[in-house]
Amino acid sequence: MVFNIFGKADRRLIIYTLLKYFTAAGNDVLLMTDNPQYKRLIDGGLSFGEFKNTYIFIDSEVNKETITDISYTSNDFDIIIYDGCVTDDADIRIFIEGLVVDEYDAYLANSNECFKIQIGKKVGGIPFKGFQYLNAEMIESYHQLIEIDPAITNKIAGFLAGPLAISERTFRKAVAKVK
Amino acid sequence: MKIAVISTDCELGRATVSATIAHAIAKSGGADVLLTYAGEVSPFNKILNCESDDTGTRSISLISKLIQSNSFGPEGIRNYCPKIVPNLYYLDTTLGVYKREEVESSLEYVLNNSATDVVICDVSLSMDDELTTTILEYSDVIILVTNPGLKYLENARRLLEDYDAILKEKCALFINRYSEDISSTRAMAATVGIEHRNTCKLHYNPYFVTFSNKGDLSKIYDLAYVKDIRALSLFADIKEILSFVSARIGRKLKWGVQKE
Repeated sequence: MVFNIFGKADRRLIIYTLLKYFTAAGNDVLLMTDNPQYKRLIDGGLSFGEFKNTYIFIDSEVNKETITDISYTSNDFDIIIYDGCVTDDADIRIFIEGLVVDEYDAYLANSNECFKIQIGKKVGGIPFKGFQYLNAEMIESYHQLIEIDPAITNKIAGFLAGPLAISERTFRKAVAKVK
Repeated sequence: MKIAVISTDCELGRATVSATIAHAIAKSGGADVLLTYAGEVSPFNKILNCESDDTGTRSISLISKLIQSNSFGPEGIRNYCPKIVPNLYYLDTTLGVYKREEVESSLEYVLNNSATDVVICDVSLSMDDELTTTILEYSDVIILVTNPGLKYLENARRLLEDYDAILKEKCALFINRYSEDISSTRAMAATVGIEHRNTCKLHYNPYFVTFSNKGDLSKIYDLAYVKDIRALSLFADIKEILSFVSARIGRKLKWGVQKE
């Protein structure tokens, strides 16, 4: 299953929630990203490496062809997440709408079928809270996946439960689960 | 297809792995499975609650005699094996209970003739035992069960080096009691010296112990089938096992409640 996550906002909050679920579900994940902050998850601060069962590959430009740069094929992973780009083979696209919306991102969101998550907006969106970034910081510092925010989990569970063929309750419980 | 399940040490979960592979294939509905055991004390009697009936009409002694007298064909053996779940049969070939000659002849017959689509043999005997060599020679795939500990991975690597002639072509690695917190499967496969594509895993789950002690291990696969939160990681593990088996059996096996 291929995910595209794009939008001019901090996408880590969504991606860490997804990684928490996929880890609990025992899936092998490949994360292709242009965000160097993910280097904190990899031992030695390298541009590629493993964090739990997620293979992270960081490159300045992410696209579908980037996968040829790593020594694995797309069949070696259950889930592939492209962070910050839109590919034609995506099963699920998530547009993260922040306070500032880029015109190109808005065009991509309108021209492709995608789910929308509003962050930082009060009406219908998820407001910024300090503990969200505190939890993100804890994930990066201690290398332990935890739930970022129950509001984000609920939002994602609402639209991912169907495509992943699980109940919303199971998704929420898997993300909230503490080992 | 014949699958032999071996391990380097005791108590690594070889029986659990065998039962999981057997249930995964049987419950996918794509193939019939026969589960057998080569060793002194069968764990399946306890964990799957599948002891032979008291009348002895299904004992290996009878099956051995029927085989010698050519009284039934390969498919007929199913009638003499207890059915654990639909499509899954169990042939009790415990050396501690039956004569070695009877067990050897029955296992050889089962492995030589295609009694079911898939035959899984849990081998707890020493690698130097004659029966082990026979089973491994007949098998299409040999699954080496190990645990995530470095000691067990090193033992697995040494076993592969020592028995390179038998294991090299057919061996696949199965990491039981796996946890992402320890290391990734890719790193473990590299330590043992097996390609990642020939590696499967089974996440640590306390419900395996709970259901095994109750003699009702089959129940956990029902939970995984419907993506219950208690066996959520098992769902992904079984899908991985089935894709591994599907590639070798040449038949698509589907797991889980299908979307409408």
